[in-house]
Order: sequence, then C-alpha cells, then structure tokens
Amino acid sequence: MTSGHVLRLRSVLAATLLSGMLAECGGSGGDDATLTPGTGTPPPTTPPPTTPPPTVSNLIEDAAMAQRFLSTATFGGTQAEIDALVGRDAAEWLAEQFNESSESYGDRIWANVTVEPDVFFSARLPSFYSNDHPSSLFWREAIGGNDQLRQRMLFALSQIIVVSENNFGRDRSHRFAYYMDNLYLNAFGNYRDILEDITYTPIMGDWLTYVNNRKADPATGRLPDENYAREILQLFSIGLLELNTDGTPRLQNGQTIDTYDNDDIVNLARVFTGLVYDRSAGGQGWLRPMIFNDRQHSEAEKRFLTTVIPENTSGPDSIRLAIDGIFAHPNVAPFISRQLIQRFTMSSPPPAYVERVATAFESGSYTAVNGREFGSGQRGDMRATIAAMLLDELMFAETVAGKIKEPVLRFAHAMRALEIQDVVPGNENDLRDTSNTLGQNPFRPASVFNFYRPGYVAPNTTSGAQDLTAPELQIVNSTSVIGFLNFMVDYVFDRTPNGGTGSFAVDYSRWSGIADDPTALVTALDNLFTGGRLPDEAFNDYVDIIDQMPLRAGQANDPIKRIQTAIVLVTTSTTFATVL
Amino acid sequence: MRKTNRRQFLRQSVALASAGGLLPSLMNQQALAADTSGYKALVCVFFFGGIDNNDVLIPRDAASYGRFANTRANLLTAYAASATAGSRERLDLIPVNPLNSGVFGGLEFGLPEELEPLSRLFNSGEAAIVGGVGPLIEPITRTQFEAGTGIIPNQLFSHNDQQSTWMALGTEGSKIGWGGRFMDQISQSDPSLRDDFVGVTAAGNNVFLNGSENAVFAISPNGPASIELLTNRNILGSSSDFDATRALLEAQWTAQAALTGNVFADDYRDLQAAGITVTEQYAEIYANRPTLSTQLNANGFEAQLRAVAEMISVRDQLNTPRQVYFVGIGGFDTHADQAGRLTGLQRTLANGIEKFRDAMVELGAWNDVTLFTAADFGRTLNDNGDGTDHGWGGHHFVAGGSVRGQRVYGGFPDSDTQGPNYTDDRGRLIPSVSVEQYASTLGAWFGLTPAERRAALPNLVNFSSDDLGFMQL
Repeated sequence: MTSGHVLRLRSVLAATLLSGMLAECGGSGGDDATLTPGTGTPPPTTPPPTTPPPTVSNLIEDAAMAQRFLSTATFGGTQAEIDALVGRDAAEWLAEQFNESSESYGDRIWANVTVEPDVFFSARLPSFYSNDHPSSLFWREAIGGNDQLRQRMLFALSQIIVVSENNFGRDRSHRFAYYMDNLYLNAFGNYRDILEDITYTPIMGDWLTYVNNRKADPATGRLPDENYAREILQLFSIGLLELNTDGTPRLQNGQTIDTYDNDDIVNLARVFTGLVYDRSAGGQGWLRPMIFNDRQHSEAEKRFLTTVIPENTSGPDSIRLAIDGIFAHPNVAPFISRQLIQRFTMSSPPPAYVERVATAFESGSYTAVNGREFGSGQRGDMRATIAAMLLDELMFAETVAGKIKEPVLRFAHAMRALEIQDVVPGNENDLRDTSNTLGQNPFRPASVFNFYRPGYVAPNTTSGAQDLTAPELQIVNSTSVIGFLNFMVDYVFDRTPNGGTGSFAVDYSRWSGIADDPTALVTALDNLFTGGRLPDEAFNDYVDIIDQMPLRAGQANDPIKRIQTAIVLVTTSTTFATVL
Repeated sequence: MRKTNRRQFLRQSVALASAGGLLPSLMNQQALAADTSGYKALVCVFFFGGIDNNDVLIPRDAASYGRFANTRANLLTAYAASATAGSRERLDLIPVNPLNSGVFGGLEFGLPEELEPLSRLFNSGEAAIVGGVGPLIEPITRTQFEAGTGIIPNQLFSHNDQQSTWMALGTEGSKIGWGGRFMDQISQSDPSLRDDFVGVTAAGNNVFLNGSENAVFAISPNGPASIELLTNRNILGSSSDFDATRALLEAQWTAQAALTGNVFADDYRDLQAAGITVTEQYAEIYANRPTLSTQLNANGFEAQLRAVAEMISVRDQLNTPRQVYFVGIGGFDTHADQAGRLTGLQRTLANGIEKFRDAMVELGAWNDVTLFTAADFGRTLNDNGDGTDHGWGGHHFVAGGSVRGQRVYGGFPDSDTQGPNYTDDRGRLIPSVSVEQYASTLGAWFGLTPAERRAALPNLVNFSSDDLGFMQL
C-alpha cells in the first residue's frame, strides 16, 4: 500500500481494533486530531472565489429559531437544548459540534465483544449480532448521542455513497461498521479522502462487485467489471451532466452536456482491477482496506475524463490518480453540495444557495458573520461546506420552503424531543427492520440509488407543478402514510414489544400538570416539536380533540391518554413532517 | 391537482353538447375514443437492475450456440461449477418451439431450466416472447451508433435513467409514465371511471403509473393497513367514552386539514389525507374478497402478485373498467456471481408468474389480464469473469389469456459481438423493437385507439409498425 489516505484510515482502525478488543474501549478512534488533513488535489493555480461574506446574522433570537436550527443540524432538539441555544450564535454551536468527541462504530461493536479476537473472527455469534447490528447502533446514537452533527452527516453521506445493509447478514456487523466509519470518521474531513477511502473498503468492493475484478483476458474475451467505475462517477462524485457552480446543468446550444461516455467507463473500469480482501490477518481483513493482487491489475493505459494513467501504472497509484482526476472535476462541488443541502435543510434548494455552499466546498473555507472561521482551505473541506450550508442566510430568513423530513428524521426527532429513557434499540423488536413500518430503515435502501432520487419531482402535487424537487415524497404513498402513523402510535402509547425491558420509555409526568388545560398542553408540544409553527386551524382542532377527552374520577390514565393523543397529533402533523 | 375538474368539465361538455344540438359530432368523437367495455388489466413486472437477456433466451442450434459460448466462456464455466445453477449446456436448455419458427430460419432457441414454468405457459399458448426490446427514438444501426449519427435515448446504460426511460420514455425526472398516460386516455373517454384505483403499485412509487390526471394507489402484501389507534379499541380504551375522540381523530387524518402555506407541508397533507381515505375505501371492498385457493407466498415477489390478485378478485366492486398494476423484483444487476444470483431470481419470477396465472384462471380473469415484463436494460453478451455489465435491448415475456402465445416476436440477435446487432464488442444489444412498439401493442388490446396510442407514445410514428401482433384483438 502506498496511499497515505488509506494507511491513515487503516491506522486509525487498527489502533481501534487493538485497544477496543483487548483493553477498555476508550473512545479514542475517530477524533480528527488523529487524521492528517487531506492532501488531495493540488491547489489550483488561481485562487478560487470565496463565498461572499454573509450578512444575515446567525444569532438565535428566540426558541422558535432555536428549534428550527436544531431540526436542520441535529436529529431534533430537546427542550433544554432549544432553551440553551437562545441568545447564542449558531456558528459557535457549530464550532462546538465540530469538536465534539466521537466514538467509531468499530469501537461500539468491540465494546460489546467479550471474547478473544480469534474466537470473534472464527465464530458466528448470532445473539450478539442480531441485537446490535449497525443500524441498531445508529438508532442509539441518532437518538441519544451528543455528536449530533456528525451522526447527521453520517446519515447524509450514507445516502450519497450508498451501501445497503440489506445485502449483508447481521453476522457481518464489523464489516458494515467499517464502511460506516469511513463516512463517520471522515465526516468533518475532506471529500476527496472519503472517495479514496471508500474505494478500498471491503464491503464496497463486495457491494459494487469490484473485489476480485480481474484485468482483461484476450484469450477468453473477458473484460473488467464496469460496475464501480460507473457508479463512482454517476452517484458518488460528478453525476451524468456537466453542472454550473449553482447546480443547474450547463447548456451548449440549448442542450445538456454529458460528463462522460461509455469509453470513459471501459477505461476507468481498468483502474478497479486487482483489488482483493486482505487475508493476511484472517477475519480482521474485513476491517482493513482491500489490497492488490498485482497480477490481476490491468497494465493497460486508463484514459477517462481528462485523466490519462499511463501503461504499467501500479494499482495504488492508479487509484490515487483516478481519484485525483475525478475529484478535480468542477461538478464535484455543486453535485455533492446540492445533495447535502437536500439531506439537511432544503428539499429543493434555489441555485444561489447551492452556489454559496459549492463555493465554500471549492475554497475549503467559510467565515461566519460573527467572524468564526471554518475549514482548512483545502478544496473539498467538509467543515467549510457544512458551515456554509447550515449558517446560510436562507436558513436565518423569516420563512423558507424548507425540507420534507424523511421518516428516519421524524422518528429520531420525536424520540429525542420526548427524551426517552433507556435508549437500547437492540431490545426493540420494532426497530429490527423499519423498512415497511416506519417506511425507511437507516442504511437499508433498496439499491445504490438510495431510498429516493435527488431529482424526484412528485406528480400531481403543487410542488411538482412548480418543478420543485422533493426526494422524500418518493417514499410517501397510501401505504407508507398509515405505516408511519401506526409506528408513532406504537411508540407514544408504549405498545412496542421489547421483552419487558422498559427501553424507550417516556416520562409523561412532564406534562401531567397541564393535561387538564388543552391549550397549554398543545402549546407546549407545538413549541417543542415544531417551534410553534402549527397553523391556527390545526392548533385549534387539536385543542378541541384533547378538550373533549374524558378526565374521569378514579381513572389515573386519562390525563396520560390526553398527553399521548396530543403527541401523536403533533408528530403526525404535516408541520412536523417538514422543516420550515 | 386531481382530475375532478377535468371530469366535471367533460360532464359539462356532454351536457352542453346535448342541449346545443352538437350531439352528432360528439358521437363521432366518442366512436374514436378508447374502448372501455368489460374489464382489462395490465400488470407490469419490472426486473430492477437489468436482467441478462443472454440468459433468458439462448441460441440452441449448434452453430449459434458455439458463437454464444465463445463470448462468455468464463461465465459458462462459472455456471458449470455452480452447485445451484441449472445447466447452460446446449442440449440441457429447454427447447423453445415457436409456431412462427419459419421467420427465424435455422435459428433455434432454448430457455434455462429455471424458467421452466414460463416454458409451460409458452407451450400452452398463454405466453409469448418479444426479442430485442429496448428504448429507441428511431431505428438505429451499429454504424450509425458508432458514428454518432442517428438519435438515441439519453443516458443509455445508467440504471435509474433507463428505468425511467422504460417507464416514462425519458430519463430520470420524467413525470408521466406510459401506464399513467394510458389511464389518462381511458379517463378522458369514460368520465364515469373511478380514478382512485386505476394505477396500482405493489412495489412502491414508480413513474410508470404516474398520469397527468390520476393518483396512484399503493397496495401492501398484507392487505390494506388500518389505523390502529382507531381500530384497536384497547389503545385509547374500549369504553365508549373514547368513541368521540376516535371519530375526531379519523376526521383529522382524512380531512384536507389545515393549510400551512408551505408547499411541501401541504403536499404531504394531501398525500396523507388521500392515502388514508382511499385505503379505508379499499379496506371495505377488500373485506368481502373471495378466498383464493391458489397459494401465493406471503413474502417477497409473490406477495406483491398476491396483492394484485386479491385486488383483481374484487374488480367488480372497484368501478374501474381498466387498471394498470406495477410489481417489481430487484437484484438483476449481476456484475458478479451471476450463476448464483440470477438463477435464484429466475426461479422466483417464473414460479411467481405461473402461480399468478393460476390465480387469474381461478378467478375467471385470465383473458382480461395481461402480464408483461420490463427491465432497466439487457446486459453484455461478453462476460467480465463471473458476471455481466450494463447493456441495452433485452428479451421479454408477455403472458395472459389474450396473448397470441407460443411465438417469438421482435428480433433475436446473432452472438457475434462484432456484428451489426451490438453497440460495441462487449455485446450490448441494439434493440430491434422499441419499448413504444411493445407498449402500443399492449395499448391496442387495452382499448386505446391508434391516435390515442400515438398521443401517449410520442416516438411511435418513427417505426413502421404500431402493433407487433402478440395480442389477440
């Protein structure tokens, strides 16, 4: 291996493995202090434009602003988090989140492993794995973790660089965790590093079938597998059409321009030949970058986009040069920025907003209104990109078209705001697979094309008539709306089969003092879940519904039923389904 | 955005026409409108990922098979080594003996043993094979393709774009599918048609069913879902003291509740309210469905077909003389381990389709139902070791009591990847039949007039035939 990026990530994980397996799990892995800055593309000869200085203050003036900001930057705020943010500058909160300690998913798995490594990697431990599979671990952190922004970024990146846990048995938690860690540990790093590191992960090699991909064989006519070559370009980096910095397609004589053709794919496919699992360390090879079987790496010239990799270039050098070539494409900034915006703040971002964020991606730096600086100055810096996205003037405007929250965000938000106790997803049968109940399971989309497409426009809707993209509406239909409603009822009314462990319990006594005052109750919940944005008509309807619910003498549960019903109403409201 | 306005407009037009003495010309128009008599349903079975056409219909005469085997030697070795895959040896292939074999000269075909249920339907005349179907703007040759002359569909070989192109004749972002367009035409001809159940998906939202007028209804393998807080009286309490609450909650969730003024929130509101309302209506009809003795599995692909069969079993109560259904099965993107992955999928799809046929026969609906297959694309004839890569044209099945079966329609290519049938030497098949011709043939049976089919299928005029002949009209 000659690639610094790969060695770096491998070193983090190897250290994790040692410390996590044999010593106490210390949560050391993953802090960016152990990551060297990206050394991707050489800086352009002319300095790139910087994002114009923002003018709209990021000061959080009131609880409604705080609630909205936390809905974009976290899995949703608790009442205490909302209150604590009022009067602060969001840039300062962001700086804190960038420095929040993190614990790799690998560590989280090792923390539960009580056997020696040899046993761990030779035996299947179904009871352990079935409870603590990666999406289960993710639920715990999304709901209960402090590194909320990093977890949101992990979920966002997992919807751009997609691997589906569906394809991998739950006895392979450690392999999937390694993929997650490539996104999670790099979440505040550089996008170029993400691209190169992910290319070496064994689970991606398996998922997109380029592990054991062999060079062409003239004798049998065999040619290299084109799968990864195609998807790394189409989905992970540049997309199909040349873009302006604002994310709109470039036009030539009124026509869009393809970024590549099939010859590019056939050539790039040669780069991803010769990769094999690292079997030198037994099962631990799943936690290491793939390595090269040099004899199966194509010696042919690889010519794609504007890159030419000469004949007889080694595998690691070919990948490094290929990632350099892909990452240098001007599409990367708008292509990735627009999708990140869709996952955090707006389902259909206006081009000017995309351009501001893409410019921060290009320059690698962003300065907030209060002077706080973000980013290393390297193109592709994720901190600069995230800061530009979350602190943008649009997000601090009075009203904004906003984002439809996908079901995972809605459920996690509800659980956080309810401050559920004993967040042990492994005990929750209802969280084993939420694909057909909640309508979405994190890390388990049907294919590499994610749960929905960034360009989806919903038919026969007002947003569709306005040509607004609405990816999240692609999974809304007559079956899924009822599924979501029932899912919320199960959790709010504590009907989830959890083996009597009491996990995911809600303390409703918070509101028992106002159960007999429907207006006060709905107001409190409206403020908590939507920042007080329920329309008057809905608000009044909810008050009326709660008001007529019985409060019978000797029926101690009647006040709780009022509270539970009010929570179900607010969390299934269309206001809660969106970030406005 | 529902079609109510248009329907009201049509009704008003009829009334005005009658009153104003314009009836003769209107009747003239009616005569040219879609035939909506009786009941008919189209069922699209989509193979997500792109099924390998070269492992669906395989050349079986010695000379053709020899060329075929030469181009995918590694893959055939993998099949031979597989413990689960059926043999791909020439003489082990199930012979396909089409009634129209004469048009293929000495060419002989075979099916892999995994598709034996489909060979039974083929031999009984209940299924046909359409060879070389794919998206086309106009007929095109390899010479034109290589020279960059001639118009080709955008983003060939890209999964999502070619799924969209098969379904909606344009790349991702297209809003209206040809299933939806067919129903739009039907709706315009029959204003009394109930629109809630005309486009039905058992496989999530897909552009194929989207029309400019009709909503799409999603069915679940488990039957129509109910809102548990309302139907399970134990949750709030069995006491009648909570009946008013339940009634108010139902009204809240089914009404077009408060507008927020935000476009996304209000769209979500509409989808939620309509979804719950229509599901409740379907649940009432579904409750009285007949019991099917044909057993379709409760999981996976067959469960989708079962949900379709159940809805067709209550077709008389849907007030919908035409329906388009969508089911899908994924996993066909067999870049690797094709011998292991594809063969299992083939068994699943073939068994499922045969059982669906049995259910339709049991319901007396088989003559009124036509199932057809579709996919992102075919795959390369040339292998990559143990799999195949993205192609273009593919071979597809049409099954139903009204199919002119036991025939192979369209074209079947020679296996010379350097020959005129392919875009390049990897063997990506240039379609000989366009998706729009395939669709038009189905549309003709469905009751659409030639003009309506041309309106729904904009490139149809570029091809010599708008009816491939595989349906009994």
